[in-house]
Amino acid sequence: MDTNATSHFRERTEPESASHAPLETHVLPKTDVEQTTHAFVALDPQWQVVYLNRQAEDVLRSTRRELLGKNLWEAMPDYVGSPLYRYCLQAVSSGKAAEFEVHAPHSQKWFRIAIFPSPGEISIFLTEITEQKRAEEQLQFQAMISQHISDSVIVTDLQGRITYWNEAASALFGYTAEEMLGKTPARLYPGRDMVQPVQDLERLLAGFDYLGEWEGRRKDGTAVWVDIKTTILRDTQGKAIGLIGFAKDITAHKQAEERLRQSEKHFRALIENNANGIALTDENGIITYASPSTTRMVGYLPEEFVGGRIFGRKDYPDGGEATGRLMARVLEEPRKSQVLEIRTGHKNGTFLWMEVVGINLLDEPGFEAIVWNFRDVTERKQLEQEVARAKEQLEAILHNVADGITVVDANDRLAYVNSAVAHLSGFASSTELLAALQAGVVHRHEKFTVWDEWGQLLPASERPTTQALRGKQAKALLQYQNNATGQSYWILVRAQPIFDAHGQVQFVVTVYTDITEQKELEQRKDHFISMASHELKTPLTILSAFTQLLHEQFAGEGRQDVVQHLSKMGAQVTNLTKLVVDLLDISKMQADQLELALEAVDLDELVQGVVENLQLTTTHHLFIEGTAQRPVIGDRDRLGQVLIILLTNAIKYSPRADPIFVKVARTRDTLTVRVQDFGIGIAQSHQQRLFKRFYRVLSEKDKTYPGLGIGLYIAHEIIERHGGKIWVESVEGKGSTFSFSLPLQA
Amino acid sequence: MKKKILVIDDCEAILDVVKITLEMEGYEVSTNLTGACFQQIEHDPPDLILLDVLLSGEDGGEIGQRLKSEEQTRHIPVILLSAHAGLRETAERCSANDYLVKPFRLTELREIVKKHLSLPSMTPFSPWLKRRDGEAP
Repeated sequence: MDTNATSHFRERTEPESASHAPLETHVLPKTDVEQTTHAFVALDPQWQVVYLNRQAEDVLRSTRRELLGKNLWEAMPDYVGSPLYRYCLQAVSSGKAAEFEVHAPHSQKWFRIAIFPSPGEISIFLTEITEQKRAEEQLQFQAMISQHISDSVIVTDLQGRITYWNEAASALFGYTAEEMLGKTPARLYPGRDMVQPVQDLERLLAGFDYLGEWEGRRKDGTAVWVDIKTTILRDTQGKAIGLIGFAKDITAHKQAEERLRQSEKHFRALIENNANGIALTDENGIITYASPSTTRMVGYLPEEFVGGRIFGRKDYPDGGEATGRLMARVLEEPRKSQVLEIRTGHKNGTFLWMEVVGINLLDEPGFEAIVWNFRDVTERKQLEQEVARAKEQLEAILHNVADGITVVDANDRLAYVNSAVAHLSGFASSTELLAALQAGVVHRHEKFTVWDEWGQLLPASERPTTQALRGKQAKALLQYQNNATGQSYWILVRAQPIFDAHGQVQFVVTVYTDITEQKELEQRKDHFISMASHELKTPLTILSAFTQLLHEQFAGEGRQDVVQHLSKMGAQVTNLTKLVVDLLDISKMQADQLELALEAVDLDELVQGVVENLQLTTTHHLFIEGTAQRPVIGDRDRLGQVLIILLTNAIKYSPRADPIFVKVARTRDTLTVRVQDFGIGIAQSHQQRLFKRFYRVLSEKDKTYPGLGIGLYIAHEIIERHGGKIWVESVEGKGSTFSFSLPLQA
Repeated sequence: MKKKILVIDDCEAILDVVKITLEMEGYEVSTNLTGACFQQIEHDPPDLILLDVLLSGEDGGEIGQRLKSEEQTRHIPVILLSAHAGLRETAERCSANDYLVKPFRLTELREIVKKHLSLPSMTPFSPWLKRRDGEAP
């Protein structure tokens, strides 16, 4: 044995039972000792060898013959001073057993030597432990390696106590080796039942590795996911001596996996709950996935789609051409959305409009599919079609309407013109007209003459569209000479401003109504009125003339009775004549054709003449007060007619009151004529409506006066057309004053 | 010598009543239903012409204008007769001397005739009628 051998001495307070046996007991069962694997040497107190077994011969490399009965140290002087020698002396002197391990440099073997001193004998057991030692060294070597590897290496004995804990384990769990040695790994996995690996021990012993992913807890309390591989640890003899576990931190991986799982869950939920249908196909268009929403859209179950060809169903009424082209586009341009709107059949036989979006993600790793998105756009499509139809209809209406319609924006730029305007202007279409306008070939107003309702020429600033641009509804009469055709048109122009939300004029819509025909009709009507007037008045003239003739003849003969009858006839002929004249006037006024023959009228002379004439026919006394002194511009006959109407009314409605005053007065810019009576008067409630056509005051208590109720209307119309005013002041029972005023020319 | 008056109207009854009335005043009255009587007028010119404006098939206004534009007839006073509303304008247009609106009073007829026969010929009666031919009144 080598004196330099490193040794690990462990003192035993309780020597093994075998060591207590006296020498005899060692000697007697010699066969037992012979058969043991241990080398055994027995010495007497004088160090003489009393027994050695065959294994001891091998270990000591000496025969029994050479050693029996001899002092061991004399027989083997090399051992004097060796650990064996020293422990033997120590054991004998102390009387205590000793055990130690020693390396024999010559044989390169390790031995464990146990010395049991007793009063008559010293027993020495030598056990070769070379293999065991090597295994330990190997283990240490491995442990040294595992100190430096990134995986956590934790070794436990078979009872689960940690015997080894590397740096990586410290880094992973936050505990140092000192903190963990002798403890069980249970504290690392507080949420885990440790029975499991114990149960697995049998499997581990049977040679199966344990693999698992555990959620652990670090020293600082944070969670950590570890991938664990546990395997059995054996010594060189194959004896199980513990468990070795390798733990790898997979927290990040686990989290990523969890996130992936979550996002997959989200996306699945999104896809499955989406109103849009989603399908995946391969490059041949074979469906590999169809979302459940597809069911809702077209009535088929996803299973009915999967495996089939996309657009393969027969219910695309518009044919496969469009879908074929879509497929081609999708395949041609990866990662680009291609859109198609197509009519699609529902399983129930109806049709819906589908927006199909295809994206080629065939080269997307892990995806490798074409994604098809289906959206039901039936409602939108129907709305679009409705809007388009409504627009078409409106266009058609505007196109075919007889009235010309233009729309100008707030800056008087033409925004729309319909074909009627174009035709009126001599263009084939509105497009041509707009082009001509843009090219500056025509100006909108240049060929037009515009009048207001009263026949006054309108300056450009007062034309309907211009007025409407200022926010005022306006109309005018336009005479238009079409230079291209030479035709002349009468056009009624009405302009309507369209306001925006802020009350600003946004557009002006101007409607041009061709009233040429109407104008011609009016002219014919005018002609007819003249004719009728002639035709009616001719017999009246004859009747009137002969009545007068007879009246004169019988008066000459003194036939008073006949004269009275003829007077009554004459009066009725006069009434009839007046009625005919009034009705003709009314129809003219209605047709807006009461034309005034304007001239300078001496009102004083006119009043004088009318009063003188009427005085001849009435018993009332008519008085004139005041003078005009200045002529007024007007229609002499028509103004005379107004005076006659007012005076005959005054006479008619003051049957018991005598005087009637005609008062003429002049202010700086007007002439006023008042006709005052002291008759029955007019109730306040009637006064406003007196000047309306056919309005008559009818009252129970009042006597009803004959008449058509058109006189005041005619008077009103005539005065209005002169730019004057007519009004009444009256007190019931006290009389009325009818007045009119006329503007004096500056 | 009786003054000669020519009455032109397309209505016989009117011609009758006018003829009776004016003959009672002592005038020599001839009547004609149409205006196609220029030869008669030129051959035997009347002292005054009463002319209906709305003759059937002819325009009385035009006849008046013609009478007033021809040398031989322009001196004859022409009084337009009509039931037509625009009679005054027509009278002005064709330079007639006066007008009488139908139906008329017999006194009006007598007065207007008397007035124009007592005036020097070719003098427009109506103060507001403008002279178109540039001749002095």
